[in-house]
Amino acid sequence: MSIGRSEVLALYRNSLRAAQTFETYNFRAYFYRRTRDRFRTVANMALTGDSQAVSQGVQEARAELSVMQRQGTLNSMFAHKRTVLEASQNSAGGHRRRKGE
Amino acid sequence: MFRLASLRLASARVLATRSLAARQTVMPSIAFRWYSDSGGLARKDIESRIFQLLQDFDKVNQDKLSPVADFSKDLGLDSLDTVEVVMAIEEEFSVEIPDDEADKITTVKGAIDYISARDDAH
Repeated sequence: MSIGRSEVLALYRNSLRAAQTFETYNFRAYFYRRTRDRFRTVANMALTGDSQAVSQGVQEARAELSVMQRQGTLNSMFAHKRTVLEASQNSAGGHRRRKGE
Repeated sequence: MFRLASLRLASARVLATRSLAARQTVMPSIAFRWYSDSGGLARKDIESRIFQLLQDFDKVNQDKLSPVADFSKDLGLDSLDTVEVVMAIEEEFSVEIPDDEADKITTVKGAIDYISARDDAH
């Protein structure tokens, strides 16, 4: 079964959104990075034409999306200490940097 | 009887609106804003904020950054990068862009148009 391009992009978008729901900075930054790396790997596999590996990668990404959604919700239910990094509004997303900082 | 009553009602309403209008001219106008009002973003502000965001994005080809640039053709972004840029735009203007709308944003101009069309963008 081949996987549609828009379907993968939607999955990517949902995964990044799920990664951003983590309240704890370290988790948020980690899952964001992990999602990015995972999809980048899958995209490279798609370029080499390995459809078996691609469908397996997408399957894993789907499974991880549900884990992230669950854990993100769970994470927001508990108290968490804000890190020094989060004192700055601009780096609160855990992945964005602004010039001149 | 009924017709008369309705007539009387109608005339009363006319009177009421007239006196209301008269009162409104006398009353000083008070500037107020609904909480649900739009952010009132100027197109120039939107453009500069999106530019800032793209300048921060490592993979963007900075030389070709312009209001009419295409994400993939000019800025050298692939489809995954475009998703990330659109996500960053969502975060910047605190809006949530639905999937089918997000897929259509492929140029800087498209992004600016979309954000200026959204009343709830801030």
